Amino acid sequence: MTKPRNSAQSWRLLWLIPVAVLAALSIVATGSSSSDDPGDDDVDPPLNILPTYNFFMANLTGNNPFTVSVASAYTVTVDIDGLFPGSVNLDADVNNIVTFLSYIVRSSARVDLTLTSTDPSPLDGTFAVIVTEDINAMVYGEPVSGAFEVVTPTETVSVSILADSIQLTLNGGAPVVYNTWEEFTNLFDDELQEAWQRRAALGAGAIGFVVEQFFSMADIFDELEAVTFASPVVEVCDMFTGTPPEGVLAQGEIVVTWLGSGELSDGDDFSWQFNQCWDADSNELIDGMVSLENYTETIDAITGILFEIGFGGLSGQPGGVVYDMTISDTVENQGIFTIPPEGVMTIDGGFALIIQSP
Amino acid sequence: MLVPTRQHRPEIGMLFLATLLLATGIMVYALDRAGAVYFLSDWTTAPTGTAIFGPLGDHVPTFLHPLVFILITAAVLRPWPRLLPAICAAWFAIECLFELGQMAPFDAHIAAALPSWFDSVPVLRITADYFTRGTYDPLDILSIGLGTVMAYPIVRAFLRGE
Repeated sequence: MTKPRNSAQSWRLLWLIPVAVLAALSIVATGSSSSDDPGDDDVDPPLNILPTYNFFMANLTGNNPFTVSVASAYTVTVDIDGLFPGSVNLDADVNNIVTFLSYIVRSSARVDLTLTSTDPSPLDGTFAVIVTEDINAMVYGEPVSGAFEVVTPTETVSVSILADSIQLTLNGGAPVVYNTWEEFTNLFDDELQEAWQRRAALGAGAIGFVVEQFFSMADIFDELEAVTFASPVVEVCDMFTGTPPEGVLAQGEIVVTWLGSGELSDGDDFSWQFNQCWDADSNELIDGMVSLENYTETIDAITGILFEIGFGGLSGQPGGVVYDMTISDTVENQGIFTIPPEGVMTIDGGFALIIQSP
Repeated sequence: MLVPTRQHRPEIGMLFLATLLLATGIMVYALDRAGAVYFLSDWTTAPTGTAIFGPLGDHVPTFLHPLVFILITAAVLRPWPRLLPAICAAWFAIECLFELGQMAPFDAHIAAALPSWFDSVPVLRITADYFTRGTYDPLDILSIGLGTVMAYPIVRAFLRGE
């Protein structure tokens, strides 16, 4: 072996630092380009929306967890572990109006749920919901396949979503089978059922709720540019078909406000103000606000392919979808609508939301 | 004053070859992928529809990258020629880790773990995208392996007798 002839040769080792940096940067720089700096292009190509995208959700930065309180009876806090990954199939028409069709929640997605009840409950505490096998579902539909685990310090509940049933096992024991998804998720409200099954049902409901919120927000992306042309945009809601609940408007409205200027661009914010907005289909009354903060969009400058869109970022950037709203069930009796106390749900906090090309 | 001398010829040769190979890799991106990568985002030539490098163009960069950096590292560490196997092994591992980082579920975890200040640095800004939007391809691992294996005899040829 040729030994270093003098100490000066040892200084060569320092060159390894820039070599390593150059290597890492040259690998990363082969990632896809963005439209953030489209150079001298004067003409934007037509927007090209792909049929499949990946999506990711993450916690908001700061101490602002996604929290749902139901009828003052219990509160569920959703803590997303890292990124909550999935993919979605969609259809975009000639005007680039997008319809989300089906989705997959990828295995490894994990949320930690903390349940706090007003009256002590065997379900109280923190547990993890971990997707162990890709969950496939139609958007706003029930899952058709996949598996997840609900894990506490003392028990692991495995839930398999099969073609004709839902199968639960506790710590690898004998399976308990439910024939329908609804039958399974309804376990949560049945206090006569065993706690581990109710916890599994809550885990399923939480994942479903998180994904539903994701799509309800993602659904408005194709409207954002139109909002910038006529901000604020006011939409009237359904009118009560009888006497509204006490203190509630007969017909509420939604006010969408763009808080940017010039053209829609990265970093812009929107507010989605629901002013006693009643939806006749779901019989729900929505009141409050959803803030959409730190818009981000990346379009390939040459092909026009939408690479990325969302609010917030994947690596702890500020922004996201921030809720401060109440959703109340309404019940009609002889033309008079009321809000039962157990039908009031408040949502606070939120999540970052990013949709990316595969 | 540092002046290249005859004793530096192996280093110069290795660095020259590394530069040539690096330029070849850049040409693949510039000609076949028409600026669809970050470091050529201002390269606005439209795709020709015909890949000049053919199907090999998909894997030539991943083949060349370890080869280039093994050459550079071997040039830097020329006084320690017995380190060559370790250099090859290290670059093979590093390149494979980047490739495997594009595979689910690692991609999402890596992206989530990146510091947010990366977003304010031009090249680092796309680090998360590299992992979440990049596609893991076993053929890339094979390309990395081939590049590493090719690098060994090439460097040995430069280091004849050492």
